[in-house]
Amino acid sequence: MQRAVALVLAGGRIRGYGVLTLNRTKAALPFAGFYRIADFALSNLARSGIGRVGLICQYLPASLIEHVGSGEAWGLNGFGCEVRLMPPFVGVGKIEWFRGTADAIYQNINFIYDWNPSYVIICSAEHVYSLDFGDVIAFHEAADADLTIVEKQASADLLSKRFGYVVSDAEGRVLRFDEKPATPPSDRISIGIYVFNKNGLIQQLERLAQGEKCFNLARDIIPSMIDGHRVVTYPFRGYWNYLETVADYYDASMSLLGDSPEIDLAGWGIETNPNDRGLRRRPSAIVGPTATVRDSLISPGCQIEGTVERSILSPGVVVERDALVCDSILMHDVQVGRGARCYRVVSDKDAVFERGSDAGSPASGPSLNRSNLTLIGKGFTVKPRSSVHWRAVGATPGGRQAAGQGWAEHG
Amino acid sequence: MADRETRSVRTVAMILAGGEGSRLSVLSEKRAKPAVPFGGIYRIIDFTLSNVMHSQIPVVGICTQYKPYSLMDHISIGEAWGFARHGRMAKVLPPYQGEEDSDWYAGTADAICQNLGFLERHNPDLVLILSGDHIYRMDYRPMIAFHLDRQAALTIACQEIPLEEASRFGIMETNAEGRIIGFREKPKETPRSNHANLGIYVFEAKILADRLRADAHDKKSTHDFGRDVIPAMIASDPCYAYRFSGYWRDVGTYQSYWQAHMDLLDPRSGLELKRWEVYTATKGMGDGSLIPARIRHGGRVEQSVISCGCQIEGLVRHSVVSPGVRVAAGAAIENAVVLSGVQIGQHCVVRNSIIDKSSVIHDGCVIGAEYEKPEDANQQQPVVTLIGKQVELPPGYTVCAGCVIPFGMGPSVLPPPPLRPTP
Repeated sequence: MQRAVALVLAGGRIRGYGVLTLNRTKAALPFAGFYRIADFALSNLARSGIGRVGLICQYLPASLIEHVGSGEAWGLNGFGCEVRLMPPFVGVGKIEWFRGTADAIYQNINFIYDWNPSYVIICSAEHVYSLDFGDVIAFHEAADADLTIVEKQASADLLSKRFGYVVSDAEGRVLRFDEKPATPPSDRISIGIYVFNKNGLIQQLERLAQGEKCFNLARDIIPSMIDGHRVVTYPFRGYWNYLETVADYYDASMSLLGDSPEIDLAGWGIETNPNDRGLRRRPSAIVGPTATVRDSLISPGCQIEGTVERSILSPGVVVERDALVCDSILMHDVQVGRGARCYRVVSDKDAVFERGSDAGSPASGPSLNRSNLTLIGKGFTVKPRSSVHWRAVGATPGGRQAAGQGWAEHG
Repeated sequence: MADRETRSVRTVAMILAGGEGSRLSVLSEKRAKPAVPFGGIYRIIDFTLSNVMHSQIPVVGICTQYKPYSLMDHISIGEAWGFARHGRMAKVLPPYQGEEDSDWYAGTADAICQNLGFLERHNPDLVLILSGDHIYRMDYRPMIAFHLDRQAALTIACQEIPLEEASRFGIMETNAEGRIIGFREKPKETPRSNHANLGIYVFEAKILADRLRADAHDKKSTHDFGRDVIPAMIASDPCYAYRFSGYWRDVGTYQSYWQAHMDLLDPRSGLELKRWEVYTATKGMGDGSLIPARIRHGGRVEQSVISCGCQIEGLVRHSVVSPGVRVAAGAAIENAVVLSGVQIGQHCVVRNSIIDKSSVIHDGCVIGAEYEKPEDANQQQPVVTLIGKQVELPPGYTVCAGCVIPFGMGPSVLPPPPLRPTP
């Protein structure tokens, strides 16, 4: 019997990311230069000695599947290890998509039977954090729990959002669990990481087999376990961002910069697939004689001749002379032409900012959205001396630019 | 021979990677010369291996002898260069003991001679013999086509060099058709020609085997291609010179190694890594160095190559920095080659220097400091300072220009500063 396996939820449909998730699920979104968001969950699990991981994916999983590959990058391949990709499927008498988190796990319940573990970890591939799951399992065992919910004290800015809220007694035993209530009953939120006893989880999922419509883990399964089962909380302290909106994604990215970054990629031991877009075959970054780079992350294959400030550049980004890239995130192989300006831009791969163009600069127009971010879709070209601002500018889902302008999205 | 086409001719490449590289000084103290890091993330041999790969030569043997571990570890089965596939192969060939009195490789020719068995197994028409310590980008196929066209027994790639440098090279004299009529290895007096041997040879495989066996029986021979085999073949076989005009540099001395890095920073030099598609075996996994370079607030980078995992809080100017290097606030490095994992403390000043892997330079050190030495005044090249692997300099230590500090030296064994070069 194996001690623990993990089921990682890698995404249903995503709203609020505009053009950035036209071609990929959020878990596959590039982050911190050449990582993808799923690297955090996979690295945390691998470093905690959890070698058997099921990755449940429904929405546009192709880039995630390619990125995860054999799991080798995280040491999740070879004897006794596995990353099993779990897309939706049809079966005899079954034509349903995954109807919710609990349903997705139920439809892949064979993964649990195959490895027959003591514990099942359920977590998300869309969060940025560092956690030793070994500690959580030790806590779960010591508490003799049926379910351990990893919770954190929410800061004021988080309380405006909708979470699962936990109310527990002095011993940490959960008394109430409210999923997305109108008024929060406490300031303790579930961060979407659970450790279940295998038998307890299977017993709950059997309710689906009986035809009960308890498709959602947080809404339908967990609240009903509080009476009659031992449900406890494990307090998480540290950085955690669940990237609900593109503004969260931007804030998390900026947490990599500054004098004391909250996200410590090296210290957290986050690994990524080194073959992603030829990463390992790219030469070191070249910073030219006319370049200025301040407080930024620079990836291999970048060539910088202009000015880059408080920005994150993925591999192969080219910034030509007199160009200015400020407070921006530019993904793989983006080109910023001579004299072009990018200000609070999140640009997907292969976009081109032609010479003299202006994206998102404060001078170029009024704000149309709260976060003042300009999103540029994959492969989009900002024409010479034109400007785009305060809105998402897209490309077609195939990655090709639509005839003429491409399409725009106001967020 | 005349009707053979380049495509149907079978070529096996052999890379001579045995060199102890004593002129590279402490850089090759712990590793073979071809395994010395270069250009941020590469090792010197990556350039030749990538050339073989891009030239679509499927089989390559790498003859190694001196401290082969880091080289064998790096090349492994050649997966990074696409050799780990059906019909392809990269094989490291260390010396071995057989039934005959084989021994350590006595010279470059002997290294190939002892591996004639490897060549016979692959039964090539041509053998391409290369050196593992040159920085260049070359497609060998036009040279092979030239070789076939001339029906040569041996074709040697050459390049015109300034006459005053002729004493460092093998110098070839050719006739109007390009046939080699004279060859002098490292001539002492100024030669009549300035065509330098680049150490890139295409041999007819059968002729090569014959000549190597003959050389092996020659008691007077030093079993070296440049000194023995090639001069003998020029007298007896049709040997041609093939002119190569691209960037090529022998990084056999630490001064030329440093200079090649400075070329890397000069777009006009012809050394363009972005265009060359040099491949390397990146470990990257699990060692934490595969993270983007971080240029922190207050850090400044000008005209430099910056690798993954670097943290720059000071000034980096006109330098090549390998993965995982930290340059603390107030430190300034200029014209420097800094290999992986080096830590440079606050307010250090580093000029015209090479700092090998994992060395720790504590706060306030000066490396490459000027000092009085009038006979150097008219020298054009800056005097290069070399700090070996895992050296630790105590705070405030001064190392004068031209010093070489060997592997592992630390505060307990270093003389009181300033450290001056031994004359």
